[in-house]
Amino acid sequence: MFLNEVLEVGAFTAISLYILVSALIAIKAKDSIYAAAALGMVGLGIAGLIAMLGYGYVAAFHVVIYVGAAVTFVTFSVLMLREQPAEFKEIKVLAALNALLLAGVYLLAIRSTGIGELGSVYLNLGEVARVIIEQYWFPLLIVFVSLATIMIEGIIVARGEEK
Amino acid sequence: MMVLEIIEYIIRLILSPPIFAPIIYPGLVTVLVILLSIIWVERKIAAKVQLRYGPLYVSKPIGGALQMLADATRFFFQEIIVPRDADSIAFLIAPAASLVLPLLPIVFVPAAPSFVAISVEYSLPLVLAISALTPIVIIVMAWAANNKFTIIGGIREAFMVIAYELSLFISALAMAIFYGTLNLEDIVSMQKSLPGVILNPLAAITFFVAMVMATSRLPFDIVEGEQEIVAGPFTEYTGILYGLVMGAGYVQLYILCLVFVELFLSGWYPYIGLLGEIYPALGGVSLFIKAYLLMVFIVFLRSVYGRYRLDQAISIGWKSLLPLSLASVFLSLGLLAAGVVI
Repeated sequence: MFLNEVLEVGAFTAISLYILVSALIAIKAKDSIYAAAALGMVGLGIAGLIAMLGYGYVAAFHVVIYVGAAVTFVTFSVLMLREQPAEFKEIKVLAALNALLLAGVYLLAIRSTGIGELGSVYLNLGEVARVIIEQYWFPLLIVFVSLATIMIEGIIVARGEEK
Repeated sequence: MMVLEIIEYIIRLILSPPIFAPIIYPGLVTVLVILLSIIWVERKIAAKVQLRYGPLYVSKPIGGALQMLADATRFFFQEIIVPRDADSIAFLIAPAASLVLPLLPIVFVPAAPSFVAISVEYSLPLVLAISALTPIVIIVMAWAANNKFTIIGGIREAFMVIAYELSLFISALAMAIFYGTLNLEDIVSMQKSLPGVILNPLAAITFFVAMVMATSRLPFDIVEGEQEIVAGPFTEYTGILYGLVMGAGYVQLYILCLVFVELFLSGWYPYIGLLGEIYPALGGVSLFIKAYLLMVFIVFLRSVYGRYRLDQAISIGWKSLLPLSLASVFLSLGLLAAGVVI
């Protein structure tokens, strides 16, 4: 039991470090493609952490959307446009302040929820669907309408280009 | 005594599903055998259709079956050339990644009842999610080689992904909705008496066509387009690096064929209990046979179809496959509403 916990914490720490290193590479990389690949690695790491917390379903879709789709689009854009990242003036003080602020917000969030109180739970997708349909039908309707609108817009844009 | 115990422990370790499944069956060793045989089968079928002999020079008595082994050996001894204008790190890493990424989902694909390397409740979306990462590597490959043919190939790959990805996922999810689970093992166990293809043929057709698009097989080998853009994103690769990128497409085909068989063709049923008693994975050999036959059928398409243009393929993806996949979801919902119970 103890060994399992040690392994779990070890894996969690290793994945977290991997995410931090990948994130650093994503920011520091000179080429957009390397940055995109590192972003993909960050996404995979985060999916790993989500899976370790017991939400495999969310982890799978995290990989599909944030790694599969998002990184494909970034690499696709880089390949099409051959665009290099713009140079920004370093604003270290502001960045440090921002990081501190963000850390404070995270700490507050963690303190308010309480570490260790939330264990992994079994996610019954049928139950989730039932709750969404019964209790959140209006937001669901808005999502459907928005998606349908985007799809129609997409079709109009595509047909416009055909002409 | 101690030595015997160690040997016994090692054998038990190798035969345990978490090791045996990814390394031997249905993993690496099986993939290698498939790679060597399916390319030969593909070339032989194409030759038969075109009234030729096909590969015959190496191992003539067995119909040139060892030709692929000879080719693979040749790749090992060929020089690896990195173009001067290429980004050498990405250029060298991408082929290895292109072979590893399509191979990763194998750990979530069950080969027989309770025989899987990593058993998870959401194996179906996980397998599809990891498979969806391969195009990124192909685009990186195209960018790294920095050649006009590779760039055109990379852009074609990106366009193709957008055309088939959605339909592939939706048609697979249509089956998940019908069976009420995202676990491949549970989906197979529910097809013991009736395969999914009979219940939801729309999903099967959509998944099949999207699968052919995903693996860049004819009539959708637009990314490579041999007569148009040399070898697309793989144009600059030589030696074993070319061997790796060439093999990657077949690996992805194999994984998606396994998923197709598990979603629509009853997976490892009929389960052969006699073989299963010897070793659990052997009982599920029907899964492998069906997947292999499906692969043979897909490589056969090369002999009878011409290549679609990119705009035609995208049009098929958005105008035919997407509506069909959405219809397959409604069909699943309709079957559930009608009270069809497996």
